[in-house]
Amino acid sequence: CGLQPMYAGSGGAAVAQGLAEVEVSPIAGQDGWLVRNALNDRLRITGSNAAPRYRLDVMLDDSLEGLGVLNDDTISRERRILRARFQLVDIASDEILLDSTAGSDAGIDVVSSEYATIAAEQTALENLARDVADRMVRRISLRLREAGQQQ
Amino acid sequence: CGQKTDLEPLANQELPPAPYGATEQPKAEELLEIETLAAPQRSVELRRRSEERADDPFDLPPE
Amino acid sequence: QDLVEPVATEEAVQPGRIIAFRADNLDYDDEGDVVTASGNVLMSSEDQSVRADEVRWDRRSGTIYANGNVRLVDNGGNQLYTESAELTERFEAGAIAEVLVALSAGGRLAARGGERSEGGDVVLRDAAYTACPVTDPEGCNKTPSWRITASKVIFDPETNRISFNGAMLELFGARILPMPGLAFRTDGRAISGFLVPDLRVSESNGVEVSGSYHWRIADNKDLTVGTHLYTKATPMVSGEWRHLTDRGAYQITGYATHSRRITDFTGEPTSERDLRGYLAANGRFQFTPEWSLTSSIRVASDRTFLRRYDISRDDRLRSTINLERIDQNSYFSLAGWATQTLRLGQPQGQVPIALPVLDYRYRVTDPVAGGTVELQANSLSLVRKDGQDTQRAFASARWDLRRLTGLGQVVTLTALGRGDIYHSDENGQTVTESYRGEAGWQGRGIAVGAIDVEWPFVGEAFGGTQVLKPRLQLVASPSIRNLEIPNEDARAIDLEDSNLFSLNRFPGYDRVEDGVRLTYGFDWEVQRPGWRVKTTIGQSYRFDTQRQILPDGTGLSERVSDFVGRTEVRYRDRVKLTHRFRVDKDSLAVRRNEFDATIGSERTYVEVGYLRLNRDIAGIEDLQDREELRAAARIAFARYWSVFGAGVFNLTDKQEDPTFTSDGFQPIRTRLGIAYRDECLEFGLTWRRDYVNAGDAARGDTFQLTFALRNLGLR
Repeated sequence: CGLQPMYAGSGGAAVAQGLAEVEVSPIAGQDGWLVRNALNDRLRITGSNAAPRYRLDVMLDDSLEGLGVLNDDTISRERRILRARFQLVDIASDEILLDSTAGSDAGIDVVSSEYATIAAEQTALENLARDVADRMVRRISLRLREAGQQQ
Repeated sequence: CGQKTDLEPLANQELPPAPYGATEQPKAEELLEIETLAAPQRSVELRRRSEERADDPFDLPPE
Repeated sequence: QDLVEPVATEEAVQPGRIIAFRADNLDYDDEGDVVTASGNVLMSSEDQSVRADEVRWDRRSGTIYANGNVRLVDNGGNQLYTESAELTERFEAGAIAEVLVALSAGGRLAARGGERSEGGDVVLRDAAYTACPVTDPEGCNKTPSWRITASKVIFDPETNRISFNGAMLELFGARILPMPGLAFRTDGRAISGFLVPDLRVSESNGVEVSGSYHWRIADNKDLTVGTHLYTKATPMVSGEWRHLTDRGAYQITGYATHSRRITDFTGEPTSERDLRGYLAANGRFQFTPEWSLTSSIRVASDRTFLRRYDISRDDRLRSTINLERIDQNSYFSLAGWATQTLRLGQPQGQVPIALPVLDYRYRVTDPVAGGTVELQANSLSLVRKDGQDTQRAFASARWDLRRLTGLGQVVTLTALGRGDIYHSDENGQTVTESYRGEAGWQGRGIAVGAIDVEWPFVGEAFGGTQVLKPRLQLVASPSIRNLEIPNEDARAIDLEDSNLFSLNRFPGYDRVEDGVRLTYGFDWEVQRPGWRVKTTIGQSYRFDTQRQILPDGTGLSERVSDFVGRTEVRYRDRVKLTHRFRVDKDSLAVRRNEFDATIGSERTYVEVGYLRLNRDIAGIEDLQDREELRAAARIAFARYWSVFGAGVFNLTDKQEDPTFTSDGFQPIRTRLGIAYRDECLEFGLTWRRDYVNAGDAARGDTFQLTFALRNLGLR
């Protein structure tokens, strides 16, 4: 049914090579630090450190919602939402190749110990940083594959 | 009537330096924003008043 | 009339002030020293300009007479239209008749007549101001929704301030509200003065009228003081101080009143009245691009104050302070956390204060054996007034190597080593047995190894692109001392798609899964123009059971875990569905079901949020079962009107949670409202009904009227 490996075969190797040429600009805040590291881990998969050809600018939106209200109007469950707006820019021509968003959320049980809830919210952020980085790298791979096919 | 707007730096005063990873210096409104974990939004209601669904810069529809 | 080349001349008037002159035809009368120009005359000097059909400039008396479609633009960008005007050489208008002023900041002033006073103010008589568009998109005239008529209006271009004498607000033509002493600035800068009062009717406090005075002390400091008057409660004062320095900004908000409080447990009003209030302060200081200090302190005098006066419905007030240093390779945070519980049943003594919480992470720049290394040092001290105290410190190193195989598989090797030291005492006071750990000093070493293989495939489908990514992960670690260690931060454990492939599915650090497990799953996504569908599902298999540290019902305790997954469907911005689920591996019963949907356009839409937790976790006071429905719907009609409804319903029934008396359908709060909103006016009425009593915030109805003149200073 027309499926072929994303990073192998004719176009695939070029996509992986293209990923290695993406340079992620710094992102503010702790969530920015986590997302940037997660992105760098997922982009460097060919082992070759190539000169940067694309620049990835990312802005993050991190929020926490309460739900699962009990009868005494207290909440018992939270949901942390991390969303990214990212642009892939061709460094040479300064042309924007991709302007897209990626986001995900994680559920947190509000437990009696407030510090345990805070720690769970922090862990949710670290899991979300990896998930959002995965979604962004997939979107970039598809765009690089498209560019590869056009040539 | 009074008019309440954002604070601005005095003539001889500078805004604080841009944090690592940010492009511009933070304005007063950003500096006064409460951190996500500091005061989690505990409102459980989806909508509190009749408002249009603004388009969300962090959630673009699939083009 | 033959086509005449426009004549342009430069006329020097005073030293350094040149008036550029352009007109179809221009002639100069020497004796009378009068310049007359006609036909599309344009005079401009500095950034002011005058346009008119015909101009007579008497140089001797220094006055300019402009006639016919006169348009004067001042250096503030405000445009003044009239039929005829007498101007000085600085383009200051003398007497004007039938004038219309279009302000640069939006809004228009029309007046029978006016003139410019010596101070440079434009004084208009019998004027009307509106910020509404006066022509609809097709261009034909439209009566503005509101306008303010006044006998006299003074517009001061320097300070961009308009003040009205005898102002009257007209709404859809009906004169409804005198507005004495109305004044505002058109450039949107702040003015000190009274803000628009707020009107509200609520069950607990009766009719509430609240007004506030805003004092703009300087551009970077302001103070707003408010009073709230109630028919069924004593008045309350509130204040908000904001200050911006060159290193950061902070604000302090306070409420204080002297009223009777209902006791927390019995629900009966106490006789004594005492001082009640709430203080909230927050700020952020950015010392250098790396170093920053953020803090947010929230304290209430008693547990029901905030809800009684509808300031906030929070049931816990967190206070925190956080010193951070972030640069390319390292993250440092020294923080403190404290919480005031407003839950009626929870003793404050059991609520922990975490001070200090130190977390330092460093990423080694050059690769080690081809992989990346991240070092982490963390320490925590948790103190409870009358409960268990726990201190912890650990250091860890994590090595990751991510490579591509020839077949396009992304293989990640991971190795993690960590050493912990704990100290705890008064462990007996912790209610749940498995959280206590052994008192005194405890230590442990942790080693985890993992190999993770993702094999993404891509292809065409449904006229778009599809991606299928199977994933397999093997994690192994020798047995880890868990139950001897106090569990302070790994309590909110629930297997879901976001932590299925994490190295340690526990939150926090106090519990680490050990043994050998295999986790597998796949992720499928299809994108075509306007559509995006993505689904992911997974499960994990453990080679030995983990019953002690993982309670039944978290989906992780047996050898084979529950199925967890997530489905997202997106069609343009019309439909957005998100479903997260955990399904029991044997009975396929839904253990966790979270479904969110948004359907409809920007103006007319339905939003639904459904949550069902059916985990049957016994023996733990935390992870209870729950079922809830949240909904909101808005219908826009007749172009500017809309009705809206919203509600929160607790569907938990006795079978799910024995402590509940509800029969499975208990509304918590509902809202109904109608609203009008166009380019310049917004008003609405919202009826909110609370079905739940919380301390002295009584159940019942609250009606709130909101009114705002848009793009004008009044809110």
